[in-house]
Amino acid sequence: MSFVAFSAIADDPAAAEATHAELWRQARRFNLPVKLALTAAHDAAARAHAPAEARLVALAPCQAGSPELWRATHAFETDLARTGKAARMRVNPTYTLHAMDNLALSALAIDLGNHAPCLGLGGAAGQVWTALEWILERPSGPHDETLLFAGDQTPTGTSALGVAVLFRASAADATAIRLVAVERAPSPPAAGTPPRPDAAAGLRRWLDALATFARNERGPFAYAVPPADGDGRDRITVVAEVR
Amino acid sequence: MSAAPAERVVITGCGALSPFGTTAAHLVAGVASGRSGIRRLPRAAEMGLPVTAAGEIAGLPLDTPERDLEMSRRPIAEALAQAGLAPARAGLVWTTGLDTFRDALEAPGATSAGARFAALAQSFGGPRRMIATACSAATQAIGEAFHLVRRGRAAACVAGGATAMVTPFYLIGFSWLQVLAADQDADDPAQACRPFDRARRGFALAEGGAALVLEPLAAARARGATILAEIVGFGTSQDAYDLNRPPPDGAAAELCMRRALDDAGLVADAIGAVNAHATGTRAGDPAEAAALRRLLGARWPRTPVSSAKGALGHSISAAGALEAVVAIETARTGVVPPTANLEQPDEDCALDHVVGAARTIAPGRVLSCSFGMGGQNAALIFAPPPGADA
Repeated sequence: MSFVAFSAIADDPAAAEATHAELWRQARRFNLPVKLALTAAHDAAARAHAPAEARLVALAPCQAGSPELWRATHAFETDLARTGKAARMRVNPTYTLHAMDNLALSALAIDLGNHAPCLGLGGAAGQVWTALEWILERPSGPHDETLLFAGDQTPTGTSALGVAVLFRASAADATAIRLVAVERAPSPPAAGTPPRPDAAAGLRRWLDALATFARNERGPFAYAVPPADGDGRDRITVVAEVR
Repeated sequence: MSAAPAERVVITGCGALSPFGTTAAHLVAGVASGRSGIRRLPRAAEMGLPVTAAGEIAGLPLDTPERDLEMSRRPIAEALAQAGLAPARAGLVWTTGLDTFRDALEAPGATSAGARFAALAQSFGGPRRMIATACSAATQAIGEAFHLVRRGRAAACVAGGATAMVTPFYLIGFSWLQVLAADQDADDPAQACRPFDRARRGFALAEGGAALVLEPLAAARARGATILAEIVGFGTSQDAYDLNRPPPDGAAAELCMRRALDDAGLVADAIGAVNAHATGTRAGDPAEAAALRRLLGARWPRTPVSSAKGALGHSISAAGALEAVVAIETARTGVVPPTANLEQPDEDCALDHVVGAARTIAPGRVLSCSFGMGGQNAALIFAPPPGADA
């Protein structure tokens, strides 16, 4: 059983920095999507019964690590192609850190003192739904909370988003939202809109739809994942139940 | 969902590209020989890089079209051919780690790790999962595939990973992080990486890829497939300590090993040999050794431990898969390869090291560990092929 216990969105860097000043000071070397992912994750972790025991599931940025890193490597490779020498070039270690797809996962584990089983999913299209499947597959046990979080940004790096969802094995209140299933059916190749990899945005759209449904109705809610948020291979439906 | 194991899971195919060659057999023979596949890269020396010793795949020319994708395609094809399976009948759990920026002169996106995974995954029936936990990613990929098959969520799975990061950018970047074995005068590049040795000074960056085919024991037998090994346990943990360094006591490393034992329903006495992560860094090797001593208890002086990094270098997100191929061979045959370049084990790294030449023990369970930069840890336990009565 997996219930949506809490969700958090961080999409305003100024507001996030104002409300999480110490976190942003600690994360000053990281790029914007990692900062926003950590902001949202901390908000969700604050609602966990035992944040140090929760399983952590991170979705890596889909935008190739970071546009900043791409620009840094591009400048490096361009200089190298021009001069043939790399000896005097500097690589900012921060950018090497940006290449770590698991950076946000590591930073959150350190902040929470969390040694629990974990999962980091890479930045391929549709992995957010894989994360929900993974959560459904886990048996309930001593680690009965799972914190899923993602940070992503536009290809140009002009805007970014952090999203976090806390799942719990038991319902906390009468209006609980239960994650029931992730259903897949093969779709014909090249059918529909090609995926637009952005795990955080895809997760947010599902949460928004779920919240809209929960405000007005009770019962099962089948969310047809838009092709742009899919994996380019399957028609994906996320089934939840609002009590 | 029930935690009860539904299926026993076996390995029916292996494939690998490594500094020793283009097949799993090349990899196994190379590591068992005690030689090192690390070489001086002339182009790195010409560029004046601070590190010029690295592990490049032997037999995969630099001008190979889509070379980074080939590092995944070829081991996957080899493993599937050995297993006699088609990808449409299998899932894919794969890592494509730090190769995102392999050719930054191309437009971003087309060569991203995510795009590369999507290209690979198209022919697989599913599930299709991309794992991103740095140096522990391939071990985690194999473990996740193990659980998918064990729970009946996949009829078969290809799992492993590849990385193509022997590039100037990463050679400089990782040297700035002070984890690479920087060049020394009159240095033999083949001796750059020295796991557990007093003279260790970091790892040699490497490229490569390796794939395993996992399927239920009953299905493999029904098909008449050759069973190479059984996979019986998987565990993960996080250090929660530092982005670049492990905790000196190796506590979280030990935790993931214990979780793998719990997953298998075993105690540490059941482990016959260990494939260590041991990259040859000053901080990482003693932490891992401390974890293993506690885990193995009174048996640590009699449980052979070896690291493949001295021979292969560190291929980051592919390392766990390459080493799984080696560990499977140890489980199957009892041949524990030596740790290449280990001459004087450091007192801080006291273990039953396999030095100089391979050691033969009774075939048995092998613990294989990977610890990621950033603190994600993963461990697998392989066992010999089940007997006919199992």
